[in-house]
Amino acid sequence: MNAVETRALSKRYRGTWALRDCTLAVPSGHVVALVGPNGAGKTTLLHCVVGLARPTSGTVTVMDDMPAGSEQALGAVSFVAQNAPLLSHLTVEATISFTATLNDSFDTALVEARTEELALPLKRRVGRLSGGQQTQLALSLALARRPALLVLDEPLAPLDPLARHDFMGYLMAQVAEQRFSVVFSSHVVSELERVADYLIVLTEGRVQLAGGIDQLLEEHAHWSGPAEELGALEASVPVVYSEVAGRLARAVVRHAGTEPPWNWEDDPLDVEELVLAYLRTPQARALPGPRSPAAVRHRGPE
Amino acid sequence: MGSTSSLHRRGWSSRTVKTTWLGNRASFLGIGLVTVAFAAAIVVPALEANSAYGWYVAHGCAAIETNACGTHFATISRGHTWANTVGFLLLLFPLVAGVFVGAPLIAKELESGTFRFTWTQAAGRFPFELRRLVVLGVTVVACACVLGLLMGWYVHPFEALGQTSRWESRLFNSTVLALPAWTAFSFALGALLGVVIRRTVPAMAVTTIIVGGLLAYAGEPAEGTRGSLTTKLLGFFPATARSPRWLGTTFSGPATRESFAPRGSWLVRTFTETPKGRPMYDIYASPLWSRISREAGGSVTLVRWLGKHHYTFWYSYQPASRYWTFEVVLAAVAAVLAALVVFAAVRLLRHVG
Repeated sequence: MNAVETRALSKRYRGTWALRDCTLAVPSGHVVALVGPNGAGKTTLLHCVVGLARPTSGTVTVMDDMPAGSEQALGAVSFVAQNAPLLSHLTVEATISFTATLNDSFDTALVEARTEELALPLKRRVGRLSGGQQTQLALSLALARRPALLVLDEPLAPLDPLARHDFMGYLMAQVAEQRFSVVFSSHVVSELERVADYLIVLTEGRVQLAGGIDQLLEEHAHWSGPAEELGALEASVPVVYSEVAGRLARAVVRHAGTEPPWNWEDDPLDVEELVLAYLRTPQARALPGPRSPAAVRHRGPE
Repeated sequence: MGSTSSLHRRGWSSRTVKTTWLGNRASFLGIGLVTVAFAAAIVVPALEANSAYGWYVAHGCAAIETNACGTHFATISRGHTWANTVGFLLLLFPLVAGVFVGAPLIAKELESGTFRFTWTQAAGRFPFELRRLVVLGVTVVACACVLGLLMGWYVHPFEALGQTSRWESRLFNSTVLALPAWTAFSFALGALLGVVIRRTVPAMAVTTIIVGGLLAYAGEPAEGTRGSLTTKLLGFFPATARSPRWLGTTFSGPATRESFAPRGSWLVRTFTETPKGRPMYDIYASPLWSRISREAGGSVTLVRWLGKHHYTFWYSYQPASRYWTFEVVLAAVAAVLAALVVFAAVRLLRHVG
């Protein structure tokens, strides 16, 4: 079963394409990190997934072919939007009550326990909580709906490092306990490896990279060798990104099991390096499904 | 998924009301306060006027005149001006409902971004917004009904004694039917403008302009329109003038003691026809009256003189029995428009996002 599936999804806002031909299939049971530069279309993609935005063309389904935004999908998907917009005039207590009235399967005990753990004052108005507290409350409300899919748009942005660590820890504990799928967008690439096991890189409205993180790391590597041989290397394996410093060339390659040339060194790659390599080369693509090396567009530095 | 369906099956449950109350407490409290303020402005003087009128009727003051009757008549008359003022101010109630309850309802949500929270809950965007519109709409309309009823009770003594007419625009638009109708339309229009404009203050401003303009038109100009539209339907009736001031003047308004139309009716139009079959204009009325005085020399009445010289006085009027027909037509048109506007607002929500 796929937690999220999009087919040729496109979304245009007043003549500007926010998403172009996004085709994705994210298996359920994963914690998916959606990364990309500002304006890449991450929020638009997530809004399409939760039914807030209507695709200009293409389709989006969630949790085994439920049309995004349908009655069934809304019952299965929880969403925490960027900056966690809650009704600021309500108290924390009234916000819990308000959310409970909009959802039949709402675990009030769970959210009450979490607010107590976070020491959120129940009588305080939401508008008077800090940005981090509002995000924590919004996440608690989303989890209390017992979703099959949790969608988070930049949840870490308003949190300080300690709160960020606690937030992700709590989220992962809930994932382990409730076994739901998570899709979250983030700029904080360094945090991804700890929590996500599936990665989607979105650039200029198009999906650039998608796959299980372990598999992606297995398929990619950091090779360094003589600068004059870089051209030959690019002809033999897909090079995602390369740079030359003096006589030494360094390249992130998608080797797919191919051994490096004898005079090139093979270094392991971490998620951050992988993401940065793709972000620096917007034309590069590495998408799931059968492909020939020639089908993978690649380019070195210009 | 099953849980979502059961939420929808429950339909208009207490949870719907609770959701709307929690999310819109300021609107509920605001409209409640305005209603209470208007009700107080009506009930206090209405008690005095109705009490005096009750005494006046019980003691047969319409037939006999005593000092006590005069005192009570004066008590009733004192409240007449205030009743007219309240009737006029009551037209602000629909404006308040449209500007302060309808316009911010969805605009504020779109402006602040909270729709990304509320519309992604299991209830869904359309049921959520439609239920809020209905619950708040029913609330403001119910408040308008109460105020309309109170206003009808308040002005009854004045109308019964011929001091005012319910046909006058400020009272015609403040009844138990017309006031809720205006309120429903104004509220719905405010909500629609909120969806279209997506910003709270501009939506409130545009609602003020449109509804304010319509209510201003519903005053004097609408009376004229009502008259001209209905004159053709009624035809004219020849009558004999009782007062020379009717001679050349085309007149419309409530039938009073001085006029010849039945009590409680609405005089649509009057004019005098000359012996040559032409309408007589105002400028000829005064010289004619001088001529009548000169020729008659006080020995003949105006009635006889006009009859003798083949002048005919014509008038048309709406009988009192048609009053509620007009009210029902106004309410029905406003209710249909309000429903269409709500439908348009909900349809437009589809394009948000």
